[in-house]
Amino acid sequence: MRITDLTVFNDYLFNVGRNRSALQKIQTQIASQKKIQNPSDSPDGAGKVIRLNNQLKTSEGYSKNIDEGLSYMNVSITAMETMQTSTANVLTALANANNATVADNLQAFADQVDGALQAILNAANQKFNSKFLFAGTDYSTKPFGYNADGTAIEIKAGDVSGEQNVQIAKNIFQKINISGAEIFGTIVKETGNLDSNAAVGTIQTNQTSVYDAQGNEYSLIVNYTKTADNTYNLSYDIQDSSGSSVYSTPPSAHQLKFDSSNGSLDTIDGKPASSFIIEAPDNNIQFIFDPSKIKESSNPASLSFSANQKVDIFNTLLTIKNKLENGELPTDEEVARVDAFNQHILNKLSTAGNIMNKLQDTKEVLSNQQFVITGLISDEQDVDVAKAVLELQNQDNILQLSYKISSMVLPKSLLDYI
Amino acid sequence: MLSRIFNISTRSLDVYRKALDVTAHNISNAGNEDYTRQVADISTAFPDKMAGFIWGAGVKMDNIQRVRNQFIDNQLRESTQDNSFQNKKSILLGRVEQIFTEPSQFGLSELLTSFFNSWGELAVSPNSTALRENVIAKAQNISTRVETIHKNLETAKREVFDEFNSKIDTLNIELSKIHELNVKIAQQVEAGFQPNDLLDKRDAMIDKVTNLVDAQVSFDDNGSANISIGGVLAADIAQSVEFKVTAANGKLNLSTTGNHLLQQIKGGEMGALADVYTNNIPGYLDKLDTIINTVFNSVNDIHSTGYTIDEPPQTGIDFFSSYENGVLKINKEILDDPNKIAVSADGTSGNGDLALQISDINNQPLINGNTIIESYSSLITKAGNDKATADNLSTSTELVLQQLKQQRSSYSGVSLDEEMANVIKFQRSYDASAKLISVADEMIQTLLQMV
Repeated sequence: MRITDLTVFNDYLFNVGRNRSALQKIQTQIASQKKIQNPSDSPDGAGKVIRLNNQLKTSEGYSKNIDEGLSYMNVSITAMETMQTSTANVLTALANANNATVADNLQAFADQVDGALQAILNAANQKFNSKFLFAGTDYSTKPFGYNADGTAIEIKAGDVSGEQNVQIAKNIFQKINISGAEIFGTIVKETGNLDSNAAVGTIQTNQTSVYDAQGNEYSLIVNYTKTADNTYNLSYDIQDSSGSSVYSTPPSAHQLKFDSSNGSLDTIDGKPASSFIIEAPDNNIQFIFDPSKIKESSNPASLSFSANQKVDIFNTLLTIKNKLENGELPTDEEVARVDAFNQHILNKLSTAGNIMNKLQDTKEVLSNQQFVITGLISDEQDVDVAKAVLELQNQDNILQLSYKISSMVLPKSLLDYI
Repeated sequence: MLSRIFNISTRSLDVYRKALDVTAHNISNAGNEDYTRQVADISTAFPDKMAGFIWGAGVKMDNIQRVRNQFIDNQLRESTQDNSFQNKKSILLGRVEQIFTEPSQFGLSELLTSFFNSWGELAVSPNSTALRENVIAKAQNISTRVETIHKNLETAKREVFDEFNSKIDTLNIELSKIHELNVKIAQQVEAGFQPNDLLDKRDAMIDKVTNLVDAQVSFDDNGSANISIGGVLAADIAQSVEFKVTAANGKLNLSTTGNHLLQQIKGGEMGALADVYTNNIPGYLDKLDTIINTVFNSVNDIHSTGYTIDEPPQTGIDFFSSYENGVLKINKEILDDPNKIAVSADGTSGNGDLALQISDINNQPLINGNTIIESYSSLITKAGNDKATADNLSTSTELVLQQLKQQRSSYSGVSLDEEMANVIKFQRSYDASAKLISVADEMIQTLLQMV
């Protein structure tokens, strides 16, 4: 091949140029510690890093939620333990009060019961991170307190039954609160179905017993009046043992709308179906009514009520305290109610414990996952410094060598010898 | 007969002086890339026939030849088109891929992830104003980033258009110069000259044109270069055509001043500009819009069913108010009052069920079976792949081009060693011819002295 001077020059420049650009790339990698500066450095790698980073950040978000849930649960459990201890104390006190030798000193027991009541009430109104622990999802209002004339304890917030859910993994949502309704409230739940074939104007009805703060029995009568297809008016009345209404002015009706395709309850008064409080303050009656499980179907109407507990602990303790102050012993039935609450709160404590365990297990899984993902991201985008430095050294040597050779070869021509 | 020696010697002196001139011309152009080495064609002069013998008449110079290989030239032109197309595309796409600033913590992917995470955090304490403000701030981050990416892509597109436009001016000038040179070369050839340096000049211009577009080059019998671009004759001996830019239906191309649209140009730098303008940038913008529209719709669909924490709670409020031309707007009511963020499913202020649903959008396969982030990451992979492919092709075509250039330079380039050897060769011949004259002179002197 005929080698001309420009051939030699161009060849030299081309190769040195390639050499320098390789050198520059390694230098940038070492300086920035990143293999991928731009997506084109490794298109698949860049996409992978983005997806992995998303996974990592999402997973870290879940961990944060779990931490929040764990501390919320921790505080809730402490408060519930206080309630349980106080209830147990009351039971001991009541057992002692039955002893005839102390019959004339019942005031001391009344004080003990009152102390326990205050402790339970305090625990029930405990706040964490500016949220009332047992106020469900309406946690900015203090949930429990005395009524206006101080004769009973009632729910002050609008709804203490709400569940606070957080996401702890893909597609897994976990409740991180024990609601006030679960512990203290009486929840009357209506289940069964309404007859969709009934003519407009038909009234389907059902009734059950409810109790006031002192444990007196009343009847709750609920009427569902069909007003249009899939639409019913829910009205209710509470009557005492003599059959007379305790409502001077019965509350206005709620409108229930059912889904025409699957028959489930769609809305109450245009809002998503949820439970609401029914109360007759003059008679110290207050409970949570939950119609959300009612369905509409073509079968004949069959409705049934169920309640989680008959009476709330606050008013039972208040009644017992008042009796003791008046030198009266509580009835066996009243003591049994306290005992029932003790069982109830123990059950709830184990529910809370289960939630804690689940959160902790998930946290463990997540932190393993994060560890693995961090490793994968590092594999994809971090520079192996030792390797890069060796390569840098190598490229540098090649560059130096080609400079040296060029200084020997380039200036030579026949001119030097003639 | 002595005059014969004089004749032969004088002719030879003349030929070798001319040959030295050619060598000098070569040497002085040794550093000129466009230069083609010239060779003095020397042959024996036509012999005399006398007294029964054929007498050699010495040397004569036939021609000054340009050493050029048409085959390498053709290959080189094609290879130049390919290389300048890929090289330009690689430069343009390099600029485009940087607009996304990925992968880094400033990229849209991180912002989208933290946006969805912020909803998950809000679900823990739905009535916290701080967390609500946080959601708004994350949404604003997305909105700013998307707007920047959009604006930068649009700017890049406009710059590509401007560059294409200015390349047309260069193209038009080169074409008209080629036409002028065609005329001049024809004149000289007609007058019996060999216009080597003009041919070099024209070749350099043709190289410039093929660097710009995928032009077809052919030479006719009288040595004129005919250039055609996109099915239209662009320059020959009779004329040169002026082109202008057309951008119709999102496509960038050339048309004649008479509005005749050319076949889509596909090679050279202008081909790359047209390709990036027509295909790459709009493709990225489309994908980005799909992703942001999905975010816009999926967040709004859930948000509008939720309740605010106002008294009384309101529903039917959208989180984003509009997404147009890359501007993602957050509902002004929410910007003014974070309590208007509606994540409560039932109207109680502590219910955050809808925040959970919005946060979970991040996990939903919403775009052709891919999640939002997966879809975005495939956009980045595509942008990266486009650039990496152009890079690879640019490198490989450059190697081919480099090799062809070496071949051309090996064939047509000036070698100083060779020229210096020629100098000595021609100088010696010149010396010897001069010596002959003095020998002939001595012979005449000798004769004269005899008289």
